[in-house]
Amino acid sequence: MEAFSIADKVRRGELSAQEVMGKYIDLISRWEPKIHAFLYVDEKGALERARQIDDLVKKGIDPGRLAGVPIAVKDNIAVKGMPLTCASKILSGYVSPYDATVVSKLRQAGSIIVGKTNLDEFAMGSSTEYSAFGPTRNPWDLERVPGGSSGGSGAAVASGEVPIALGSDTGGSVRCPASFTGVYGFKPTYGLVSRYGLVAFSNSIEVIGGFSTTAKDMELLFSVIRNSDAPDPMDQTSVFSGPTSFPGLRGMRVGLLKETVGEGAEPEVVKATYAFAEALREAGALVDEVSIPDLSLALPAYYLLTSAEASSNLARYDGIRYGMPCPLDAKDWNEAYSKVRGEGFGPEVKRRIMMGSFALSSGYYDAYYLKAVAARSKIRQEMLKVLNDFQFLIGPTNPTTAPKLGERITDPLSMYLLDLDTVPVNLAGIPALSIPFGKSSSGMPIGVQLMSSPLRDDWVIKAAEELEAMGRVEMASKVATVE
Amino acid sequence: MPKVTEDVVKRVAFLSRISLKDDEVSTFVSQFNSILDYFSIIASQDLPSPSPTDRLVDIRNVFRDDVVYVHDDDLSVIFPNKEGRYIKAPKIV
Repeated sequence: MEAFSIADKVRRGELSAQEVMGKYIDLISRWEPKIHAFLYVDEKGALERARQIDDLVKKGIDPGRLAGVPIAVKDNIAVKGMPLTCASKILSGYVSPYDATVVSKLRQAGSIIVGKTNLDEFAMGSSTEYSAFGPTRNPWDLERVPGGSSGGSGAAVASGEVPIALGSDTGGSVRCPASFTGVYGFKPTYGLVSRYGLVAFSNSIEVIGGFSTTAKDMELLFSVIRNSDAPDPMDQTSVFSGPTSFPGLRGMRVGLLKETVGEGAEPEVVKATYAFAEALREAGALVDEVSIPDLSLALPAYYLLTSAEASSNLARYDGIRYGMPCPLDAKDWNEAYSKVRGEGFGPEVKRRIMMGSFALSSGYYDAYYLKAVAARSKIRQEMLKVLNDFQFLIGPTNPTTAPKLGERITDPLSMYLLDLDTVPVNLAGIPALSIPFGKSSSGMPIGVQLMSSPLRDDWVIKAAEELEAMGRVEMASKVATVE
Repeated sequence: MPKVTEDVVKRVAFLSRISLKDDEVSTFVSQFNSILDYFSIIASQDLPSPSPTDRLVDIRNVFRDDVVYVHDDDLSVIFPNKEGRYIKAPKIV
């Protein structure tokens, strides 16, 4: 069921929030043994909250725009009283003492936090296989990955365990799982949604985003979580002048990014991208191919910058104040830290922290870190320049459909290459929506990306709504029922 | 391009305060070389020198009123090693 219609009916007293929650809890218990989308489910708390929502409605009090809507939250976002693990052993036992700003906003709007979803450890990965608590599986094919790093949220929405979910997107971590599981995944403009309560991995780049099965649900979710007033020093609310009305796709100029449909992209993904361009043309948009040659620098720039920031951000995990305990019998603090971090972090997190320390260390700083900073500026400038001429840019979300479990995990570079088409968006800080657009011959969903200028978030979602109304979006809400 | 050796990996692991097993060291040596080989495309670019603090948006300071209040929650529940309400840490001297 759509979030929009749940909220509508619960607010009008036509549907009981407890009944809704009961149905979703039943779905969760049937799907979880197969897909492992959740790391924690608060069944009791969710039912209690549903009862409170029903009471409010009975008293004539409006519980809010997301009244009674169950939502799953990626386990790197703080929810008071629930474990916050980032899918890492180093945070085992840690329970968040506070709510992230987005979570407070969801609660105020009447939404019900069902639980915390699986991810690649500290959001570093593109398959959810790097979770210390075991991988999540793709509901379309249990032998395949759901993408990552917000793979649990993607799989939870695609399987129908929840109507909407939150994820975080540092280099495609919302859009990749959305594309691999056939749902919508939205990455807002950098700075439009508060990051307060999001565990920092690469704070100059990451954003909180959402998953849904319809564009209208995405509009609703985004309208609730946007506009931070929290202590986030990157908050851009002050430069945001409020929703601009979208005039419709007719006459809009759309640029198809040539580099994203070239070498390395699977033919079926390329075909879907051209079909997407055709759908936009049918809606009256003018689609032309456009080239940004420097996009080839985006992937190395992204990995260098985010790893450098991670090496600093993850220095806080020391086994002293929270999480996995450090050994008290170590000969000095260095040994105590090193031991707990050596045991507590998984291989990808170690790789990124070390790569970041390397890129920042004397002798390599100029060749790697500074070059990556310069490349980011260049890519941002070039993308914004193209967006002066085009209202939208399009391309595939990922170069491939979902790989099989284990296929890329031993070769980190092949895993990084899955992010080829998503990272430029993060470097430029622009909004992008992954739209489910058809399936491959093996039945796996394909996602295409719709991007626009900073702060044109509403346009991106509205354009998708228009395509959806034309019947041109293939939604994945009809996932096979549990066998 | 620089070749990453076992010594480089061990040095970076020390800087990162991560203890590594011997087999991890050799795996990281080969993985780092393959990753850095791909990243060489960026190191070889002639790009203008940016400010090291160049970023997408300007940071603004976030201030709040300096108000004294009693923090009710017992934060000591999250301490991994503790004695009473105090954090227990490795010996310093």
